[in-house]
Amino acid sequence: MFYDGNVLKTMLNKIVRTIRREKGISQNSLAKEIGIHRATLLRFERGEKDVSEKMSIKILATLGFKKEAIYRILVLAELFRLKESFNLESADDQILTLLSKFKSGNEKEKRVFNIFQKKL
Amino acid sequence: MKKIIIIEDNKDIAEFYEIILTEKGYRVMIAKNRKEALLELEKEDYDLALLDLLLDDESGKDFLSVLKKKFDFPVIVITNLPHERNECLKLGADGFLVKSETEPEGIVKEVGKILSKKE
Repeated sequence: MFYDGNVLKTMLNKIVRTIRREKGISQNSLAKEIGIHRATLLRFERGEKDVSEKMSIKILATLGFKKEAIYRILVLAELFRLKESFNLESADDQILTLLSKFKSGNEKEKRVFNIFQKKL
Repeated sequence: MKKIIIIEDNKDIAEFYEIILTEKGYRVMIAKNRKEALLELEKEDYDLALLDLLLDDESGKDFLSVLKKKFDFPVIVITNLPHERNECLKLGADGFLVKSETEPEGIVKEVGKILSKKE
């Protein structure tokens, strides 16, 4: 099965909820811009399973994250999962390397840094 | 049009690879585990595989060996396990990328490089 663990969903939905609120965008507006129902976005922000293809990526892109940042977010979430589930030794260095890129990024990326850093 | 199979159990990451590779004109299929990958590879011909080393939370090195023995296409390993580089290259991986060290553009370039070597 696709890995669809709690760590991944908790981090992605937290990022989306945080950035959406900081930008002053309602769930309705964001859902409309992506082309989905508000209920779908609500389920996503609650950390429920993706209901359609490429949802996480679509939402992050609509919030203004560039491709490179989206990939880093997805990889970071995966590294945290591996660290928590398997105590993967090499995860820490890789997490810190990726976090440093967010720390020196724009305001949105700095918020991502804050969210992930709390998990450390 | 070149055809690529992405063997990756993280749905979001697999879909991300699909997007960036499809944008460059590749035809892409996703398999989320070994069984799906083998079923698909028996059905259709592929030009390259992008293989995650941790599939179903098991090491994919043995699966790398299987792919290299059974099929003729290059395999690029893309992983969170940087220490597996030497072993994977010994097992025949044609490329080895560490997810945290590679930008999306780097993945696309590596795919292009390996495919052009094959020609």
